[in-house]
Amino acid sequence: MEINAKKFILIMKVNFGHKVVDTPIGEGIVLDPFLAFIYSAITGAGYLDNPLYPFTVKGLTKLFYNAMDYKFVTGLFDNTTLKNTPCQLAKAKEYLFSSKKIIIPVEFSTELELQSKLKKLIKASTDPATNYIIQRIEISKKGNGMEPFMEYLTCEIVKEEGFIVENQIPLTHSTGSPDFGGYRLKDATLIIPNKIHLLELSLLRLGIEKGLKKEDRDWLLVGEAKTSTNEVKKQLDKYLKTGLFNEGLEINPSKLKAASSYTSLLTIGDDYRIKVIRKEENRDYVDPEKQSQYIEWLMNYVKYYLIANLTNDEFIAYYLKITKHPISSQEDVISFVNKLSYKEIIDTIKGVIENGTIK
Amino acid sequence: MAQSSDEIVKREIIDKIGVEFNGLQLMVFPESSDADQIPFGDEGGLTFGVNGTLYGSCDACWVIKQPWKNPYNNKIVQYTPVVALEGTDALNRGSSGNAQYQRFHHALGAVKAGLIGVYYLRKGVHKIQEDLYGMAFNATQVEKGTYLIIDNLDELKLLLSVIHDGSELKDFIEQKMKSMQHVFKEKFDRIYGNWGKFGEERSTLIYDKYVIKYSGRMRRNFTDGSQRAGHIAVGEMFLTKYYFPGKHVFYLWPKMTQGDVDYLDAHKMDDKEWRILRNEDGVSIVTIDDLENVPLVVKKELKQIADEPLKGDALRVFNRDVDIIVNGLRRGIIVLKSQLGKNIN
Repeated sequence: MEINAKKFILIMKVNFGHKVVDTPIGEGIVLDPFLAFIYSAITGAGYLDNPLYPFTVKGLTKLFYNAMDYKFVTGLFDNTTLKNTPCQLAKAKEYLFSSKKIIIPVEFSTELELQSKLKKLIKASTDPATNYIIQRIEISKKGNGMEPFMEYLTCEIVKEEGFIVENQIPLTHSTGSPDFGGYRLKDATLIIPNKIHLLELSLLRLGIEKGLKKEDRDWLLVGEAKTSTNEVKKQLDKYLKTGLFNEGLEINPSKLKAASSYTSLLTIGDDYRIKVIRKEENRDYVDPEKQSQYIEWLMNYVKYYLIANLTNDEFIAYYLKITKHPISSQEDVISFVNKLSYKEIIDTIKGVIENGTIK
Repeated sequence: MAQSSDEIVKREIIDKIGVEFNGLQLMVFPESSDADQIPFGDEGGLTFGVNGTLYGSCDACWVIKQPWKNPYNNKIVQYTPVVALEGTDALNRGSSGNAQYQRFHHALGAVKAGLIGVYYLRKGVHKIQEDLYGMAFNATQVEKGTYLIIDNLDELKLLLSVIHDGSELKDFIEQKMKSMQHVFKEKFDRIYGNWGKFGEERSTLIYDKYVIKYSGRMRRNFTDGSQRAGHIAVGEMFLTKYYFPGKHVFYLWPKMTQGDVDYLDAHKMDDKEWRILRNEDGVSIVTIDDLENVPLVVKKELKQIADEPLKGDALRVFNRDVDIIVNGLRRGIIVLKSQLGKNIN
């Protein structure tokens, strides 16, 4: 299935029950501002703050270069400073969480054509243009450039099974960056929300509410999305051979059968319903020792997204309160956050929400 | 993946200057698009050049609605580009040395086409190499347009605000040129003092009518897309060209043969960087095969390390053999044949 604007609307409506509305340049889907924020972060779809280069969250909220390592990329943190947290972004761009958003899929062949359509939308709309998020559909590209959209769909479907999910996950330089990761962490269960996108953990302060689901077993998923080619086996095998993951997931809207008997498939049927076809073979790729180390790292990884509910000043105050000395390096930050428990972090977040400060 | 350098720069431009400013319209395209890669025209494009040779793509361009004849392909287009900008966050990403040169040629295309080209290096952990200021200053003296190196967008905004005012623009450019020349000269005088010392330190032999710049380039630098050495080669070529205006530049790659160059000509003529190296006025690529009287043992050793990155033993061998070649050239024992077959030493 090649996803065009019409199919985009149907997929979102049929699978998630989202409301469809008319806009001056075609139909759009209504999302609450939290989900819209996650949508932008995963797909790169931009808020229409200008017609040339709409603002997207994608890439702003990343954390580490690689798994099993604690070296920051410039994203959530910039050196030792909390930088692009959703809370900071919300202060800088009030429109992000001010109201519901409409995702409009816009087909185009050239960039100038797209810019012209967006200028028309801005001119014709009575609502603030930043209420619109533009989903690019590049009909000149094979697959229409819709792989990030498939990553979004995968996140939305898989998280309901009790996973913390994310796209473009850190792994290693040599293995590359898988398109999708799903983490069921039994030791985090009932303490922090699961059935959640990783970035949503940073939205607690902004009012997002997410449920807790008990999980008895760790289960780690890795996925790779394709819309323009069916060649995915080699990449998935590479990820599975790391010994870190229990299951590989092929993500492809056009396939009916997975590339191999030992990987699962997420696809879209002719009825626009997302289907997950579980692997036929229960092949065990896990190296228990390596996976254990990865899970330990993931348990810490998640903490930073919780910490991102704090402002930088609050974080500094929190650090000072516990350690009694100022932050002098990234290693200080890493050592501090890794030692915190989830309960301590969540209690701190609740404290600043109630008291407005670190006590 | 975290935001790329280009994404950060483009977003910063939009936030600081907006999509329209002082009668100028901004042209910019998303990271995921390749609309910037085509020649500037009515379908988009942020790549400039002259006489059929394109230089790298820029990140942003300010235009006015007025017909313009593109000197790359002589096509008349609806918009006149006024300022073209190539931006980078390299100073925050580990680029402390000659890696900073690798995008110099992107804005150079606009300068050759007669525009104001800007190379914007966001302030960061590392400083801007003073060489860049010298390259831009000298390029402005010999090319049709103006080349500016900046590290903050306030300066860009000021440029755009005076762009329509002839005398204010002239003042701005003169001041900027003085400042760039000063930065370059101060470092040059401090580190080298004279061109002879520069040549010794910077792998350059200087003669009356030409210079020979030598480096350890290998074929793989231009065939392996993951390598930036090809880009850096272009940067170093332009550094040499603009430091020695009026002299012919022989860019000597002793690890490479004429066969390597022929291979690249046959397979990489669509590659912008290779095309620039091969077509730039006043520049000739020369290899070990263009040298006469090189000791056989030197030729053999260089052949053995032809595909080796320059580190460890390969670096030791290269340095030793290049010393022999350079001393030979200085003494007139080793001779560089011109591309026309005449001895030119």
